[in-house]
Amino acid sequence: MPPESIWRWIGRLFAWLVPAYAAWVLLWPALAAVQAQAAMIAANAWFPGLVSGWERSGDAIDFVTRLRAVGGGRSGDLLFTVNPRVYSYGLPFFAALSLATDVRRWKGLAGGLVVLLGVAVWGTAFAFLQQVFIAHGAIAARDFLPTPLERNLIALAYQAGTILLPAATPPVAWAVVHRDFLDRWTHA
Amino acid sequence: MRDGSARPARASQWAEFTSAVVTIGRPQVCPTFSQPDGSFLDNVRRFLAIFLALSLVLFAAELTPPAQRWVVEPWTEAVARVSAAAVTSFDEGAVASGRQLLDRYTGRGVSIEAGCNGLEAMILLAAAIIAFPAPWARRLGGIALGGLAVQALNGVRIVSLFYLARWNFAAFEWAHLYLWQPLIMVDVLVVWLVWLRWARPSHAA
Repeated sequence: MPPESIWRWIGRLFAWLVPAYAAWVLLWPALAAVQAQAAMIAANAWFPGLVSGWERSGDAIDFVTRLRAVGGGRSGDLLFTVNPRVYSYGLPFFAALSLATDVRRWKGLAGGLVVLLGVAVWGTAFAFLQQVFIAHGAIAARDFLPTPLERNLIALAYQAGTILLPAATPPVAWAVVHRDFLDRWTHA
Repeated sequence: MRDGSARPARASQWAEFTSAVVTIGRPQVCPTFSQPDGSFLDNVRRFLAIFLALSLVLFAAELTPPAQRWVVEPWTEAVARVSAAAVTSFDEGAVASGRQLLDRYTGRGVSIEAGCNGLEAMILLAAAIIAFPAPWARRLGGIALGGLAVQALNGVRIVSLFYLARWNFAAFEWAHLYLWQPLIMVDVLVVWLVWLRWARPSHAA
């Protein structure tokens, strides 16, 4: 693309955002399943036995834990609900950025999407862990007691995974994949 | 490929650019970018390393209680006040209450919280500008003007979300959670690309 034409690039970007978002919406169920499964594996790797499974709850994911809730003569496993889409909108954003810059860079596009899927898993996993150990830490403390450092790490990773990474990773991945565009841009 | 030899023209162009930056008298600005024999890929890697480190440091600093108390909360209050003033200046049906912007008749509206104040976007823009080798005056100018552009679009975002919330909550949720974040980042990216052109040697010299 001609590096001097930022308006054409912006126009192409918005043109690609529409189909990219449409594809993302269509792929929500599959993406959510990948995010939930990977987040469950990550959570169990850190806190073995914490999660027994996950279920769909509309567009959200319920993580089923082995934490027990007892009250009124009844008991049950605690569920924690996470909206996985909040952490995966970077996928269509990166796809639109990449396709608007150079549609031939499909390997870079695929690699970037894999990285952004990792970001989505990060966000999902730490949103769940934040609910368990920060928002409901007293309940979890009966069975799992993270150290203060672990609690701070969970809080920081949750903040980064919610606010910073989903928004910042797509442009960073774009800059890596399309660094030759940046090179042309700075020298045009 | 690792040493950038596959891109000799680009490497030399980048080296020429970085050398030109140095000649205007600020070699201490970013010495890692000032090596004329550095490859383009190496320079991109350095840029990304500085950008990521700065972003993480500034983001972590933003989360500390003193920064929250002295920067984030007052900033968020100011953003809320400006947005409320903008809307109530032309819409008699809108009313501001603290950080909330509400419909006078239905009570529906939005509450502007930390995370909706554009600070994270400004942190990323500042980190990207500082990480690129350019004179400090250009960097500071880029951060100031770019910050204004980010805050202007963030104001549009808040006003649009207020009207979406009045009209349809599902549309508000969609725009709030999935649409406006990328659009703010597009703003940051475009501002940074425009700044790159402005800060290049032919303009900076």
